[in-house]
Amino acid sequence: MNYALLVSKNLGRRKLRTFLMLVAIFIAFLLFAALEAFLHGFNSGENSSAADRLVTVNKINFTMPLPISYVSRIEQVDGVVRATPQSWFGGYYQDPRNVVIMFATDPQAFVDVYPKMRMPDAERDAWIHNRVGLAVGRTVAAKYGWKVGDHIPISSNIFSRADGSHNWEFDVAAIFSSPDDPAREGIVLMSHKYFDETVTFARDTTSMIVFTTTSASRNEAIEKTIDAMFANSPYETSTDTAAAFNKAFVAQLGNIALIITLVVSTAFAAILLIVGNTMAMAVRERTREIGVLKALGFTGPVISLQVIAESLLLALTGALLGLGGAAAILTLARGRIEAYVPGVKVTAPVFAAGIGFALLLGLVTGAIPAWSALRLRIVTALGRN
Amino acid sequence: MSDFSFQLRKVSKRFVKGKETITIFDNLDLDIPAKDYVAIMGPSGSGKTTLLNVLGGIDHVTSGEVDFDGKRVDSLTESQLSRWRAANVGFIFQFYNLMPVLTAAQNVELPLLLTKLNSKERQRNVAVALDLVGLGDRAKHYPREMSGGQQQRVAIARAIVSDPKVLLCDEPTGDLDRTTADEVLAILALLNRDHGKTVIVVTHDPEAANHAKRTLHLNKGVFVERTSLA
Repeated sequence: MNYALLVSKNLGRRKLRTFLMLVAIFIAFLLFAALEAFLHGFNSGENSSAADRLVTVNKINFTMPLPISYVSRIEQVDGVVRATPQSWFGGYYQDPRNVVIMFATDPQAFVDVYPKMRMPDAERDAWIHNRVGLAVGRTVAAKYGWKVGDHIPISSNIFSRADGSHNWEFDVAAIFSSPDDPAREGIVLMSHKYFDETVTFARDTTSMIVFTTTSASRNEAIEKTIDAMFANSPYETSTDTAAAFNKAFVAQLGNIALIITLVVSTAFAAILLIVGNTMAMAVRERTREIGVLKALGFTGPVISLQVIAESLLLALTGALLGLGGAAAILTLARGRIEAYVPGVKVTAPVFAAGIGFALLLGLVTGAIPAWSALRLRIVTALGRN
Repeated sequence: MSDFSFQLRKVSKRFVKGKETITIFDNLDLDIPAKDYVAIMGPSGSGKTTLLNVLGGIDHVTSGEVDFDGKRVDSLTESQLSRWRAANVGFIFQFYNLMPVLTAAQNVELPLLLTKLNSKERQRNVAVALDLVGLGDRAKHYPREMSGGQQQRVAIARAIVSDPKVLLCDEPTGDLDRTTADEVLAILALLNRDHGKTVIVVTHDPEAANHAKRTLHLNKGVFVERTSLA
């Protein structure tokens, strides 16, 4: 026997109570990890945006169009390297529930603006030269089992063709990865030329224009130049860095970080009270045994450390199950989730923070019973005097 | 080394309850030689359990001096007292006070966690202690699977496993039937006679006192009678 066995035996003396405490801690940490994973997904665009990449959208809001001619005009601004249009397609595959995050773009320009995107040269050329070719992110391709050369139908819930149909036909020309931003692997890219020629409305427009600059230090001046260039026109612009644009996009959903903080804090406060009270009760039930241990020669600090070890073991076990459970669930449901929020995952920092919270939870919930055990007089514990 | 296990000089124990100061005993003197077997008897509230607590270092005296083996123990700090108890004193309680989640062997092994013995040495000592009380075959049984007498014998094994010099027993037969009580008392007598343990028993049971070499009668904090088998 050793102290570790003693600690585990004490935790196991009321199995249902220990199990219920574990479940409470498990749920709190599952919630924490899942919400943080979604927050990571929402912020992944912001975090991975290159400093020299900017976005121009309609000043009213990004759902309003911009003339496609703005692309070449922006490219002529001093300091701009390459610009590409990106138009939201509103796609789905076979069933409206199978959302496909899809943009129409200029393939050659897109490759230039996103140089870290990876695909075989032959596939890239095929995508650039095939009017109905698609570049499919690795995650989407895996989800639907698409391979290069497949001929696939994708419908748009916004754009119809001349025959009134919403069904579009495409060839999978390339499958790409995006090491700098795995969330981008959840999108599909089509040719803006094909889009423009086929749609029945919104021709010669784009949702946004993404472009690179010669240096991030020139961004601010370039933003002002572009917005000034289109001021007082029917399509005034708002230009910002890609990171700021992504942040503003997420902010439209509300203050996600604050919501998550509030939900997680509430869960943790409840768990703190439940586990703290239960631990105190569990140790109070053992008052006589603690007195006996002290009589046998165990010092107060040794017994207190055992109590702390019990609460730490409980908190860490529950936390590991919760964090691991969230990671497992999100991995299993990745295909479905990434259609809506790409980049959702339990990151190492979240895991580390979870362990940190668990240690804190264990220490706080164990502190009061440990203090009581430390101060307990043997004669009181044994019910004497 | 002293010839005495315990020597108490002008020991007083008082405590305050509200505005009243209650004296348990006052200026008590007591010598308990090494390898003695003493029974302390007296009515409830006479101070015998408090005296046992003072001897075991789990309660403090208000004034006076408590020596063990020629050294003062009443002035030791809590952590020093813990170490002293672990090395010198074995406790046996009326209600056994075994840990229900541990087997008999694990209960007996508990005091050895405070020693430097390795696992193999601890298990060997545990086996010897359990054999001594006749429970070698019950090592893996939990307290709930044993009778009261067997639990008390496990408690005795726990008290002796670290080879203390003194056994302090508080009503060790108080929860047992006569036959079982006699078995427990026989073990205590054996530990005193063959293993040289100083045994101090607080009891209401005259039969338990009969096993002792001498009996001290305490009433209102004063020894009113001292009887001896010798």
